[in-house]
Amino acid sequence: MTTAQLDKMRLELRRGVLVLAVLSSLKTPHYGYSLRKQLQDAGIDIDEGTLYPLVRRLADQGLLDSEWRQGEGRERRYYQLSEVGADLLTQLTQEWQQLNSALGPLLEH
Amino acid sequence: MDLLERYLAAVQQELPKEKQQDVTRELKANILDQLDAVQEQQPSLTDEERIHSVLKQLGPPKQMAHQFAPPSPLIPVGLMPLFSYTLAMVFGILFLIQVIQSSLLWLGNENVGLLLMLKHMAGGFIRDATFAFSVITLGFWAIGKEQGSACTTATSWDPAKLPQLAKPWQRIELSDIFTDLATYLFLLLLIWYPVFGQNLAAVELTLNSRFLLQAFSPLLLLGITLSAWQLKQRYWTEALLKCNLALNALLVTAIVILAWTSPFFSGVPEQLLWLTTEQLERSISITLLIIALFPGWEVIRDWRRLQRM
Repeated sequence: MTTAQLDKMRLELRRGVLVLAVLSSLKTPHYGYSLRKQLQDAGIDIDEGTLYPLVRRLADQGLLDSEWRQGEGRERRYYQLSEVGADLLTQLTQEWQQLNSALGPLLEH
Repeated sequence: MDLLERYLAAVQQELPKEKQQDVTRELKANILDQLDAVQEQQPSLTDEERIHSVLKQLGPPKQMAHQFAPPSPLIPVGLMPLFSYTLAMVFGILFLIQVIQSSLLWLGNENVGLLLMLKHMAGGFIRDATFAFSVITLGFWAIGKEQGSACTTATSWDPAKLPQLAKPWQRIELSDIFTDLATYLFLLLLIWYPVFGQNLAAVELTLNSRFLLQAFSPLLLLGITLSAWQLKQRYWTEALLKCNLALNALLVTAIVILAWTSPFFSGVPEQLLWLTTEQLERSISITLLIIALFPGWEVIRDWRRLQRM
């Protein structure tokens, strides 16, 4: 398998998981950079060019609420899980746990 | 900071109008946060170097803008199969119309040679096909806009109605159907034009050969009917194969009878005066026998396919 193929498959594998990670991280309000930092500290490395548009798309879908706030002499847009987003996160978490428990034994073979 | 403003302006240019202000405002806030973080990690860097490094990491403005507002395809993916099918059908019909128009032009005008007819046909087809392509694409673009991103999945389909396709050869290509249709229409025009249109002085057939040619018309009409059937049901069934076999067998018989008909011409056409009547008649017979090999080959092919069904 070439590096390009591996990168493509990794990207596909991570795409859905990233949504779950972002939604989960936004139970508390975050702005773009602080969200990235939180994900990075949790071991999920995501580049800015992917994260910022992803957050906006989720907000456009009504899964996140957002507001501009002033702080440290600068304005920042804070995002937080909306009610719809919270419902979706619960369902996605169950789905993830089911998949994870099913995949575990398969991957051990 | 000049570099940052230039980057933001370049991103803004690639965004849809309604998103421009909002996205660049947010992107700027995020970049400023990143610049602060880089300053903490690498204090030795100058302002320009920090901005350069952060922007390099973000990627080209166009790519960044497309992440925020992904470009939507002209034709939605869900409509693509219908779009391709419509194009193929319309191109096929335009091809048939061009065959008819060009054949009439060729038959009705002594100054138009075979090459000029082909040129007229190709030019006309390209012109019409380009127009049709633009209109169909615009139509599907409008339908796509109307439907939005909603994907309509047919739920009321019956698996029992799936075509009985057991062998790969059973599938009939649209191009084959339209080629057959064009051939039958061309031959019909060739045979009947002297009756309804201007008679060309250059080609004078004997009454006998003309009568035989006209008597073959039902076969050509049968061919057109079979092609229309194939357009509706685009795979070979036993019934369709039997009909095609019968049609080709009749065509072979008809062409062989025509090849044995002599004399074919009532006189040597002006353009062929360098040939004797005998040489001309013999050439026609040989040519017709060679032509008979094509439907003959289809008879053998269909026979073998029927054995395997």
